[in-house]
Amino acid sequence: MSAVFALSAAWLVWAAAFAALYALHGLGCAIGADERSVGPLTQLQVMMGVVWIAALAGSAGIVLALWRGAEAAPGGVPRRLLRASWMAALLAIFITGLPLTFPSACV
Amino acid sequence: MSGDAEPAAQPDLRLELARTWSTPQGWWGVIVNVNHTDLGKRFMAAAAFYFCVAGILSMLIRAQLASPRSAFVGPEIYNQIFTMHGTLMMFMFAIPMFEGLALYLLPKMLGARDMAFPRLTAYGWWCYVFGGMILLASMLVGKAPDGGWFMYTPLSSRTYTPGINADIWLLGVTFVEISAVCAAVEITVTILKLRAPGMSLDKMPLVAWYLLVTALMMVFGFPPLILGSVLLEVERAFGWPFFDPARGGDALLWQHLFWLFGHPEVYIIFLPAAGVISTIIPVMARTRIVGYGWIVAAIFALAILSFGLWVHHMFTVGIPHMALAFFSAASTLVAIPTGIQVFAWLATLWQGRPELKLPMLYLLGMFVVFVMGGLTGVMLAVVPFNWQAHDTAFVTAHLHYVLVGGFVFPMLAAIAYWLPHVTGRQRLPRLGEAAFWLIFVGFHATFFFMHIVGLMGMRRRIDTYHAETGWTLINALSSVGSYVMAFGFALFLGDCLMQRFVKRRAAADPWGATTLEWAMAIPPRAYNFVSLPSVRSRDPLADEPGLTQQLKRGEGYLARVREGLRETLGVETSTGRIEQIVVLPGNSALPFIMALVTGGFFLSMLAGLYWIAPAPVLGVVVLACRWAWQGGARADVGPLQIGRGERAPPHPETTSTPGWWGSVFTLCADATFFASLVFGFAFLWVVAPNWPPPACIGSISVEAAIGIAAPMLAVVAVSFARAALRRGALARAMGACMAAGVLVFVAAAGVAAIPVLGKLPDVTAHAYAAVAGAMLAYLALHLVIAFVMLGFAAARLRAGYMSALRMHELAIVEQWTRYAAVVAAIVLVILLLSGACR
Ligand code: HEM
Ligand SMILES: [Cu+2]
Repeated sequence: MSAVFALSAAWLVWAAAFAALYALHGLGCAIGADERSVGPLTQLQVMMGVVWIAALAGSAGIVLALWRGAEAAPGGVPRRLLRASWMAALLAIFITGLPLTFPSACV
Repeated sequence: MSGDAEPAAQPDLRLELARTWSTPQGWWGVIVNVNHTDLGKRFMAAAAFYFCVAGILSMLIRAQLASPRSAFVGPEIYNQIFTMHGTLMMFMFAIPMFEGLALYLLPKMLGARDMAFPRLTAYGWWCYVFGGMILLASMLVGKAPDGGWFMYTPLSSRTYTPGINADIWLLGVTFVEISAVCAAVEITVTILKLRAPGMSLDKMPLVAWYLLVTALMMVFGFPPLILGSVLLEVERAFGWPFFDPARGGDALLWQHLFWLFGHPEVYIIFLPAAGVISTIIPVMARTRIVGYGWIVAAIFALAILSFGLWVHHMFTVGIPHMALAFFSAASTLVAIPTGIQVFAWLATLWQGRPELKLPMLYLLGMFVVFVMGGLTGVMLAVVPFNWQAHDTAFVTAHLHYVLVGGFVFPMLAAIAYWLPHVTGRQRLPRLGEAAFWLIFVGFHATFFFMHIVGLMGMRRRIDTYHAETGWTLINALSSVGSYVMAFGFALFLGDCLMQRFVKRRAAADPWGATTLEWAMAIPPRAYNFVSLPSVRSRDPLADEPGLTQQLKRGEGYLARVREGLRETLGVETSTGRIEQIVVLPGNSALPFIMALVTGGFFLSMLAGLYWIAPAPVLGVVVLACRWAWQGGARADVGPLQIGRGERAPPHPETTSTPGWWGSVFTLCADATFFASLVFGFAFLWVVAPNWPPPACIGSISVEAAIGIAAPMLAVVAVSFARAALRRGALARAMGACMAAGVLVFVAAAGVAAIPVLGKLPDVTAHAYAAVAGAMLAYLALHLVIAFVMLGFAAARLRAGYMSALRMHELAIVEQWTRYAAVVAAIVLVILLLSGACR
């Protein structure tokens, strides 16, 4: 099982970030968080932005750790595969979050 | 290997094995058979039958659309025809087809003697048969589902489908889904536990990875649909308004639940086919697969990404653009892992010396068709294009390019490749090639033109059109194409059936394959291997010449029959180190009876005889206890000889048993079902119109306190029981189990008090109360399950089935008690918080 977890971990982080963004979006639009502004941004943008950046930072951290740390193979999965998975997931999180830059959120 | 302590292989070993694994002759044998080879073949044959039925329906569709203003069938019948075509193809052909292939192949490829839960295989089979009979019968009497294969509400709700048609879909398909979830759990556990010793995960044949991921996707992907079907059926039967916007429900909830299943479903169908491709290509190219690790990593990416795409089926329902963009982004991302696979296949072909044998021909067809489907898919993932093409024949064309390219062609390749294994015979030359060309050309003629009429504005699911539209010629060509294709399929089928009559023996390993399923006599014996292999590489047949003979001579593991028991080996999930001897159950009529009783439940619901329904439910509980009671051991025997100088304990004396893992994955499916329900609550609360509800749940602090605290105490009691059992204090363990049972019962009473004392508002008045009621029902069900299991554990303890060594049954009961406690806490806290709903 540990190999299964090791291979899915990166994508589970993506899935969690994706689900959180989608849920926050639905919730935020329902409570009108897109109409309250925080500086140049809206409250909704701030909330979702925080999640996005946290997910990006978290997975970037793991990519770094996989690059530096000892050459162990968690769950018997070769390092290069894990590195590739995490980098791909990092990219996926980035791309999935890009719509945050849309000017309006709830229409 | 033949040390002196080692008993020589039993002289009449093959006879002995054949006797142990055999099934009685005649009808009785058909009913009690639990063997994976036979059931796998049955699944595939039945799936082929449904392919023919659904194929004939599609011929009728094309006959109707061939000319304008066709009066071949009226709109009512037409609706039933295309709905049944889609439903049968998706649920009765595609899923069962790959299940059958997995059941047939997995143990053989992994080097085991059967699947992990043979009786569950049989139960899944009978559920499939009975569910299918409901669907077929409805078609014969002209009351078949007619709301499209995704059954959108409000079209499928009581008001707009007053008849039984929608109930047939909801109940029939749910019945078949049970079979699919059973298969998913079983496939997962078999791959994780029943591999040949030494086969660490990274030495598995690639197709096992594909099937593992597919099965996991089913564990998480099917529950949302099952939930949706249950809710819709409850709405139709009892008027709980989950999907009725006038009463706080939302039709979009159905769409979300359906596509939360429906999109992953596409990959659930595609991945096993891709597994087949990855198995056949290297053999055809006489080389090894390129990029094994990359493919495995890509499968995981694909599987999880595919859960984030579902809203792309709902681009036109008015969801905010930003949310659409999330899903659009994710939809384009899946192209990357899919691309990795396609490139790995091409690289493998490039590296090898491909031969154009029949399976390869079908794979080439797959490449062309699937890639074209992928391209139109990318087009549809673009939101503005989607707005134009949604619900036109363009989408129908796209989906058939993907499904036929991604599933039907690979399955035809699989049949061409493994049929000699099933029958032990050779096929006639050239018939299969002719069939291929008819299918290939006919397919493109049918569906390529549908892209064009789609872009010209022809909607899907219309039963007729005017000549002025200018679609006539194209539609006629498309219909002719479909008849050409039908001839092709008939020829293919004929080619397969010919093997019954033309008896030309196939060679032992006709393709020069390297995986273990060819290391046995073909057609295979019920026990697969005379003795079990030990695996050191990914291509055992290539790297260890003579392996087949060695195994036949009984030089592998378990080259003996112990007390007439069916045995195979269990390994550690990752490393493939031997952990236990798994003792499998023998022939049994229980699966058949249990499926009959389950069918009784669905039939009573269909007939609207709701007051009868509790009887079959009770029957299932009783049968389940009987089922679980069989097996196990009443004495410790310690590690036994397994051959090659090694020893392993029988599985009751170990902890990481197949049963334990099976319970874990069943709970995963169950938890997904629950999570979908909670999602539904949140979704309706946030999005649905006509909120807040007219009345909130009353003050339930006392009931909630009891309902939360009692199961927690029960969990403590069960841990105590485990500790006592470990010390050998059987009486104490039994007492603790019974105490836990009482506590769970108290909790159930507390939960029941909420509706009984009238604290739950009218469940038919508003979706708020309906979902709250559904959550309470779910909780009550799990308290009852925990109660029954605790009682069962106490009885097993009493009857001597547990000891300090034999603890795994109690561990399983503990899982379910814990789960009930967690559900209790979540449900009751949600209800407490939602008391302030206004
Ligand atoms: C064997 C050749 C096949 C032909 C000629 C065919 C033909 C068609 C046609 C013409 C439609 C459109 C009905 C309409 O919009 O009025 C359709 C719908 C559909 N087909 Fe097929 N099909 C074939 C195979 C398959 C296969 C293999 C699958 C799945 C594994 C499949 C799944 C579906 C689904 C899901 C729909 C949509 C049904 C709905 O709108 O509710 N088809 N098919
Ligand atoms: Cu999709």
